[in-house]
Amino acid sequence: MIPVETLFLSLSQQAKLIKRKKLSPIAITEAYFNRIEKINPRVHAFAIVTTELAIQQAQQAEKEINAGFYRGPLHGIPFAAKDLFAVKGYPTTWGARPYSDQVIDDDAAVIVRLKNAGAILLGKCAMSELAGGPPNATATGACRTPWDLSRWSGGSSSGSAAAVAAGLCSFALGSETWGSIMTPASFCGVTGLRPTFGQISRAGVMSLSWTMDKVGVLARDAIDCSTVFDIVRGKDSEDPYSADAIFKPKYTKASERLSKLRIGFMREDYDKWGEPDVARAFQEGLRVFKQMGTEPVELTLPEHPYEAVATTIIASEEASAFEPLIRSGKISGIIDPDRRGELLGGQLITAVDYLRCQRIRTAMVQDFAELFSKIDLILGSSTLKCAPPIDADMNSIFEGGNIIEAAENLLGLPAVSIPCGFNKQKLPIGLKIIGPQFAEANVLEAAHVFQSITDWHTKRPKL
Amino acid sequence: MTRFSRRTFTKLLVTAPPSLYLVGLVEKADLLQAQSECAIPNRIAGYTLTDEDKILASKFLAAQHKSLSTLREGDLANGLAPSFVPVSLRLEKREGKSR
Repeated sequence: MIPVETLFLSLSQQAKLIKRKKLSPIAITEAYFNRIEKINPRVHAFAIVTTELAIQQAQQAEKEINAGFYRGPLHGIPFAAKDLFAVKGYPTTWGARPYSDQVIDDDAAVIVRLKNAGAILLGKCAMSELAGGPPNATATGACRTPWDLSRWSGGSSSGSAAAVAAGLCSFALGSETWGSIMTPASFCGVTGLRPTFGQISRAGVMSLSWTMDKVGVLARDAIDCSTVFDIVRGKDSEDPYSADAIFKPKYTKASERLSKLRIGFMREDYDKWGEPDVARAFQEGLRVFKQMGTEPVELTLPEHPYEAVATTIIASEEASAFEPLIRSGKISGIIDPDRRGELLGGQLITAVDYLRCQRIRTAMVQDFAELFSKIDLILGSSTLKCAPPIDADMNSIFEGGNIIEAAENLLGLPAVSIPCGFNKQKLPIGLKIIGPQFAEANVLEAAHVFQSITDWHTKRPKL
Repeated sequence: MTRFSRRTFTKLLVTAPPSLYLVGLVEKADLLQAQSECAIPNRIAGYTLTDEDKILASKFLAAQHKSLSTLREGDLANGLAPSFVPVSLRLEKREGKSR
């Protein structure tokens, strides 16, 4: 019998035990399934469990490791994937009722890479309907943060963050177009990595916005995110936008390197848009960064209509991506009425307006290149509020502030969200570290140093 | 405020000036502007819109109009080409170090 503490160990700790044959891939897989059976009906983190596949993968991993063939740090490690990654032989519902019977007879590129690394797929995670919308707009029931089951886990990688937080898997794959990793990572108190646009192939992943979608990782700490990222990243012939940059973080020298970086931060209007406890936790986060030898300076974002540009680009691209859904008439099955309006209305945005947004984006790229010539990393709050009640109005959750989130996503910047405290209701708070394109090493090293002197990421919800 | 039966109200939604049904959701001026610039057709991508669909699409476009009016304010330089993908693939095989 595997103790529950083992299920909450970091991926790197589990990997050491598996490599030394002190932890059986079959046993840990069964232990996770037992916990999923017990916990998932309350959290709604998993949409589908892939039991047969997982058992087969666990048996193979155990056989290989016992024979002395160790594939690497993900060999025998159980994980979960947001239900927008295609997995051969299982439904891929995109969180939406019109796709409840969809089976894509292929594995997403990232799933193939994880399979080749010997990782074990436990199941597909719940997600917001077509990767957007309010808590209840999903085919599998609102996913809850394990810290308070009356509250939302965030979206759209809702189940991926909740599954990691609840100890239902070692790590999970998610995706972000605009806030879909940062938000659930913050609401669930886990570490979330959103890499640079193109760093991880999107082949076999639902398209919402071709020029803004990114695949990412949710895990217990920055090192775990780094381990998974290093295995799944890189050029893929099936994703023309995929890139192949060098990634060589040096965690043993991270403190020394970090002290030489120039750190900026965004001061949000917490009184107007956020929670006082989030403001307090962010100030405390800044204090930790000073303790780490840096001198954070306040930044002003280059002036651009980030949110209007992001909204227009996403609405135009999703209207095109989901044109078959409209044509088939199955759009009536979309739960969120506002989303239906967006998909239909998006069809009427003119090409000139779409191009105008893409041209403004060019100006943004130029201005951020200038900004990043003076600053190496930017700090901000992942969300300005903590997890809201399940029935909360979407507009009230995300109203105002955090303008940089639209900028980060338009510019394809890498970021990591790390736990940095709790509010009075004992809900987790997230701090994000943003870097220039392809600076994942700096971003993750900074997060690692933060996590080596704080213990927020080691806290567990009582379930 | 004038009250209508559900049936009459539904009919009004698609025929009457938008101020009758969307006041409070969006600014009336934005809505009127959006409607004058972009009427909601009966069919989109081969799909026949229901009355509710038309309301939802109108609501979205009215909000969108507000955003677009900001975007349209400035003139963009003729040579400013669209980005589409914000990442330069020239960075391939190079580390994205900032220092």
